[in-house]
Amino acid sequence: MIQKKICLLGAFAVGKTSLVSRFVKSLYSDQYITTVGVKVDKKTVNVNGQEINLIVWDLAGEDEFQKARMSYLSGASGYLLVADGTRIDTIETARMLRQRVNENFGALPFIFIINKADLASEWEIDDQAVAECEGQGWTVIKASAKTGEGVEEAFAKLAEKIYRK
Amino acid sequence: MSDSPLRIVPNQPVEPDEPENADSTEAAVKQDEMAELRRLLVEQEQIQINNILERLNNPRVRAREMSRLLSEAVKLRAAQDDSLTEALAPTVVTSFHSSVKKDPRPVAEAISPLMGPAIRRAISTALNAMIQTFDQALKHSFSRQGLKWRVESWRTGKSFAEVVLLHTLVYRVEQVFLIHKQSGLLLQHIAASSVETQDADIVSGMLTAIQEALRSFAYDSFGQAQAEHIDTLDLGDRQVWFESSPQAVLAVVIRGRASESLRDVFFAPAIEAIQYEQRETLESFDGDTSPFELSRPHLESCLLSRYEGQTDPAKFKIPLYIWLLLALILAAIGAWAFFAWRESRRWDDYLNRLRAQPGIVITEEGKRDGKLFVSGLRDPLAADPEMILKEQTPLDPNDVISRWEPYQALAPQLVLARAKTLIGSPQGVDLKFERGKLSAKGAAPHLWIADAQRLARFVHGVIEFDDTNLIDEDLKELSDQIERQVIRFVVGSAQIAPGQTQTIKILTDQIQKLAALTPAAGRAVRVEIIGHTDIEGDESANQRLSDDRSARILSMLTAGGVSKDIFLIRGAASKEPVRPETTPSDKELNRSVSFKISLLASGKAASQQSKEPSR
Repeated sequence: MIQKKICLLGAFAVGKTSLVSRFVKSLYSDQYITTVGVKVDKKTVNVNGQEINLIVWDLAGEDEFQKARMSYLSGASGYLLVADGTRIDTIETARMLRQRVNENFGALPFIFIINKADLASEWEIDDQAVAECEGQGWTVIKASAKTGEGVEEAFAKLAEKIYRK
Repeated sequence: MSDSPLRIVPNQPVEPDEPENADSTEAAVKQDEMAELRRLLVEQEQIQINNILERLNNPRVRAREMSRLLSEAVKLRAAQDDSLTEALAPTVVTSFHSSVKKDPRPVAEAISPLMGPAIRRAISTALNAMIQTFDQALKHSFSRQGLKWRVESWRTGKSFAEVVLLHTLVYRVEQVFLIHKQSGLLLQHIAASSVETQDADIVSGMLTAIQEALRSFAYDSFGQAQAEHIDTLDLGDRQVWFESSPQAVLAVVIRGRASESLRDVFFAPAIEAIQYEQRETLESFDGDTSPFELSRPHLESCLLSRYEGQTDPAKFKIPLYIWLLLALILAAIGAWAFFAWRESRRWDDYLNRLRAQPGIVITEEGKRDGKLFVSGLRDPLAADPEMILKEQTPLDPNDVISRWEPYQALAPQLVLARAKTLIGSPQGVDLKFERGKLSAKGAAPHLWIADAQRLARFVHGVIEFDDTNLIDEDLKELSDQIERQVIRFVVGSAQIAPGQTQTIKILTDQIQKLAALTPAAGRAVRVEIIGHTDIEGDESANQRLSDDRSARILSMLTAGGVSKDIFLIRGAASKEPVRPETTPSDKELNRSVSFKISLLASGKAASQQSKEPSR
């Protein structure tokens, strides 16, 4: 069995945890994220007929009081960068986090997820901002933790990227 | 590479073909020149090349050369990498299979020195473990505490063994995780039997995350820069022990309280061994965990446990009561063996006694349906085996089955016994049997003797009946009566004294009777008539007188009808007086004739009769 460690990164309350909670095998409660700073889950995906176990490290959100602990990314094969479509500032946080990952671990495969696609009318992130990100070579997926839209796709794409590397 | 041998242009100038035209002749000349030139320039090299080609093309030469290099080549290649081993492995395996298939003995012989000790060790370990389990089970089954645990087992639905283990647990390693140090990914995981486990992949990640968090906490809180690794996580009744190598972490989940020494004795060596054996795999790890299957034995060596009352398997001593039990079993076997041996000895003794008996032949003996069994032939006159069994052996007659077929034995004792049964054995007669001859000695009635002579022939085993030493009581009586008779004579005369007519008559009857009886008894009778005188007068006259007296009686007896053949007459004069002469009545008695009877075997009598009677 192939095992790959991936991390979930993003600003505080962008919905990382709820994004994945429906799609992964969870052993621990969300409380671990606030106490330990991380919660580990598992998700099995299929890439080109090959089963891959994704060990998902859901890291505590980044805000002015708490910084994501970079050491948790040690040994990760890739990560999901999450932003909240209704909060434009979360894109900035995402950029900043990516920067820090690059500084610590070099360029790792990642997927940029903009969450809360179900609240399209309240979005502050417009198409121009999305295009800007794509222009930088980012893979952007709009997703919704509520409807489940785009989530499976995000995991599959990341696994594919890691596998192709 | 081509298999065809290399070829080279011959050294000698080529014979030109028949020139057909000027062009070809010119070409041939040119070729000749070329060949000559070549010969001059490279002849030496040409010879060397030929030598080399010879070496290359001759398989025997090549084989010889390769044999010189082979072992060195194998050593060099094996030092470089494993490809030689991999290449040879299938051939070796196939050869091994085919060798075993053809004849397994050589391989068996080769490995038997290893197998023996290994099997012995395995058996002794298994036996020790069994005794230990048995010991524990006994201890816990019958104690008060054991009963309490039984109730608990019944109440909780857990098996009794499980309850006992829970209560006597000192420690038990429940799970062992081998974790990739950098990523926290699980490389290998094992759990003790009946331990409930969660998804080990996730637990592995979490264990790594928590370690990481604690390290940061230690650094943040106490400025503990050296918080390189966390040794132990204490979680109440469980602990997680960590042992790490440069690239891997061993996380051991222990229930109960284990001795710290386990770390140095088992866990650290395990992770060191894994790090050493799989360094390259660990360094290049990219998510594929399958190569770490190899580390399972190391992880299994960490699945330790200890229960109350359980001692170190190496120090385990067999408890006293098991020794006692063994001793008891041995004693029982010994007793059984002794009784079996004793019975077999008694049985042999009985059989020997039977064999010693004339008229008993054992044809079969042994054990049948748990009883002793003997069968054979027995003369009805032989000793009774039942009596021998009862009186001469301590065997229980109820344990012995006997079956005897009757037969007639020719053993002398039995022939004699048979003869006695048939012809009887009156008092005064001594019967003996030897080499086919039945002999009778002593005195017996005339009738019995006659019967015996007739019946002896019908006794199985008797060839001859010898009664020469047997005296006929009736004949003897008669003879005695005759010998007691004395016929007196007138003084100086062969004239019978008066008043003896009756005596003569009786005598005649008696002698007649005797002569009649003796042939039936196989005898011949001889009656000697002896004439006597008193001592008065001269010797020759007395002789003549005694002769005349005996002759006188002979004529009187034959006149009475008795055959002359049985008589002998003799005159004894005064030399054999009937009674020593001291009184006149003695003198009178000596003027007489007396009788002497001999009973002879019939043959002897016949030979003597031919000469008699004579003076």
